[in-house]
Amino acid sequence: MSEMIDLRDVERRAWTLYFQDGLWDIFFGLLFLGGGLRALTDNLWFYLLVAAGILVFILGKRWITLPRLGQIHFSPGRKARTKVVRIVALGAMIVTAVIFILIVTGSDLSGLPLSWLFVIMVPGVFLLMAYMMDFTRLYGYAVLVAVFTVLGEFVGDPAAAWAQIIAGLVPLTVGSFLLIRFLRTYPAVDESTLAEGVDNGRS
Amino acid sequence: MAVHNPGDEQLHPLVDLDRTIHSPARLMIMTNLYVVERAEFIALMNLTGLSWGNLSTHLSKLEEAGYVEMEKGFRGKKPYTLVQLTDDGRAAFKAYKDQMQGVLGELD
Repeated sequence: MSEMIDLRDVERRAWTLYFQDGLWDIFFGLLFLGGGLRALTDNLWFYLLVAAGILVFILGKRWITLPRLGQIHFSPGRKARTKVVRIVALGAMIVTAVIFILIVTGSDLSGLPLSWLFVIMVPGVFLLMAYMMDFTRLYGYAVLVAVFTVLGEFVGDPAAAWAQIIAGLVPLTVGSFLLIRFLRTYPAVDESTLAEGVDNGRS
Repeated sequence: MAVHNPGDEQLHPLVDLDRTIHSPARLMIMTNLYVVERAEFIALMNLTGLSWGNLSTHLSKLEEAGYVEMEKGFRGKKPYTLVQLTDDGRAAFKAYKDQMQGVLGELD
């Protein structure tokens, strides 16, 4: 029996269903792209693309994913893993913000290995997210992040900026493809329509 | 007159299986509900591949047996139904799982 049905796989399958919409990929794509364009142009692109990424993600989950997949309340174990990811991501953002503020206010941080800190921390957060969230594609994005972070810290622009732009185009393309496939695979349904006998082509 | 077959004794636990669960569709529903806290009707359709009619019929049987409970609500103007296993349903699924593991394990 255990060889036929692995309950952990059943749970993982339900969980990863929500990564099929490509919205995380589009969000990361716009984030990386914004970072790369900021280095080559100005901050406006970064703010615009990050805002677009957040909007696409939140509105997409609400108006595209939820009506098509329905909602699942996962087990406490799964919720705990998600909480760890949130705490670590928030911690990384706070560390980055503190360093940014210290640099802007003219503090002397020359004695600190900041380059190494970012090279380890940023891809590390992605690797942890990939592992804790069972989100396989994030391992690939962690590699892309590692490449442009290393270039950013040890080579500089414009090489790092172009690497980041290319790194942004990869998840953006993957996410767009996944979103189109998702829209074709899962038609929007609501229970009142289904109850009237329309099964939207489902078996 | 029934002929005694020693093999029957080995398979006897199969006769005692919970028939409410022991149907492919209901087993799929119970399995998916066992690994989460609760799921919307549409989510269950996607996870099991069952049509609205089939899922509705099987959920009614599971509800009659006291294995699932359903809660209806509205998101905006759209209705939704949340489905979850009851404590009895969770216990019944676990018992079924253990029974099947025992029987199939002995047949190895």
